[in-house]
Amino acid sequence: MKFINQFSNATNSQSNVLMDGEHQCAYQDMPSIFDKIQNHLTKKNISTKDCLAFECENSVPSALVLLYLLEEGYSFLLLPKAPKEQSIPKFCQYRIRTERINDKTALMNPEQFLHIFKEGINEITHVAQKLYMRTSGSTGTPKIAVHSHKKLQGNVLNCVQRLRLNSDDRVAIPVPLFHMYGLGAAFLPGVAVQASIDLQKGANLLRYLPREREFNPNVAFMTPVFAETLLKGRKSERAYRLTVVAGDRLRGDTFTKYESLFGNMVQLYGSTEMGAMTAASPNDQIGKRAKTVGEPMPGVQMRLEKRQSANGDIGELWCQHPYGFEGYVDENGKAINLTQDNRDGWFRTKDMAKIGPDGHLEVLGRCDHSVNRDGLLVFFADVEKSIECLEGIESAVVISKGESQRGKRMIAYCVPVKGVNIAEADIRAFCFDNLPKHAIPDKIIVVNSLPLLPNSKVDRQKLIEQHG
Amino acid sequence: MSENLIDQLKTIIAQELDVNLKVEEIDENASLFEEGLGLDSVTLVELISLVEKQFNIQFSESELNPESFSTLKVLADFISGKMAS
Repeated sequence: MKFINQFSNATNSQSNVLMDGEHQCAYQDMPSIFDKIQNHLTKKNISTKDCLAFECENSVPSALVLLYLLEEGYSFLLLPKAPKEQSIPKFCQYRIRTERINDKTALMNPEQFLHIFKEGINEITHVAQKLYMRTSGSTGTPKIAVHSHKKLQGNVLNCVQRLRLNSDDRVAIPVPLFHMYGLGAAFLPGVAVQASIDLQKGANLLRYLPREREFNPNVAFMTPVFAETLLKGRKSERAYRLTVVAGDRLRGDTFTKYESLFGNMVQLYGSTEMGAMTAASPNDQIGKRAKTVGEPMPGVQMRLEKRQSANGDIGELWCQHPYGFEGYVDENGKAINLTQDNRDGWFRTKDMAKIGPDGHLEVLGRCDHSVNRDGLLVFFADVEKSIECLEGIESAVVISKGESQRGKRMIAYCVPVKGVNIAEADIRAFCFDNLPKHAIPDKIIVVNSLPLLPNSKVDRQKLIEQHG
Repeated sequence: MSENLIDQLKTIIAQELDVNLKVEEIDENASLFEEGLGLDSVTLVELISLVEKQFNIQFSESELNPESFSTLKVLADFISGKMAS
């Protein structure tokens, strides 16, 4: 096996299970289910020569298909399961997804849970053993990051070792499998040591607590926003061996409060393109774990560019990673060359960071016009474009100032079309209907005009100083 | 008794939570979660906190589960049960 049980340190881990609250599957039962999945795909004339688009969710059936595709070496694009049909890249011949099954024995019948849809057949030269993932944000050309399975394994091993995962761990994963964090830092490392894993479809206090009672995890992967909601919503303490957070900065005294109730917390830093770049270790000193995202993974190099003159040790972070992605492709499968972001093997993270004398990394925030909200990246331009679709709005500019419950606070300044009277409440309602929750500005301010720089660009700095 | 509770809950949701709902739009038999009112993790925790304050009750951890919060009607019944005890 390439991804399952690479580093198990116990002989009895075969009986450990994958669970999702409805179904469970022991590792020892996976080979026979994989055979059945194989038969199902063969009957449909699907082989590793085809590229698939896999709509994945945090469920046992989805996880089994995901593991099967990786073990067999299929090339596939990993997607969230969307309620409506979503666009599939032209280089995928089939779209597959798992559907909910009520019958517990149906796990042995993939025909019941694995649905296959034929997309167009395209004469694209097939590339073997690739994992494709769309990157966050949609400004400009939508990009798909390409990973090789082999390098993905390297990324997984790094996480196993740095986080000290072992077969006796019971790992709770309330973050999505179709993102690199859930897949590469949580799920695959857990599978690699054959630990018991609980998959949860959405980080939600009301679902998390009952699942915690039933599954009894000792390791959990979450986002800082979810850690904050756990702190708000529960009163009692509970010992975890380890909690991993990623996706955003830890704010205020979250770290200290969390550790006092739930035990060791480590921060991990990664991206869709790089996988995990750095992570603190459970054995790191508390001060390091509180303030930094740890040391780079083995073989990973980091450097700062465009250092700010005031503070020479802060700059834009570039990363060179032995197990990072191979590049981007577009929806047709054609390589996209972004030499300004990807030079000589160095990848531009677009994060501002500080590297301590001991090599520990502190990530300070984005340096492009984007912020993290609910652990997801939001590009201001996407929000602005969306608001500008509202009739009556001439232009919109989004800035970030301060903090909100979801991460950085977003404020949208909107200029109405001349003569039009539009209420802030109406603009906000429009946002609720047209943007994902995490991308909705915290505050809308209608203004008559926007301050401009000499080069006619909007003076965002002035807006930040003026209002908010 | 529960009727008045339901109205109070609707007011809390419409006025104090960061959602885009007016009191009239809230269906007390709809799910609180994605399929219905669309309260997510962050807003749910806010709701729990506001409910505890308003009705002077404390949810125990075992009472924090999807079933007790499945709809506003169910939640209202649950709250009035807690207030009675």
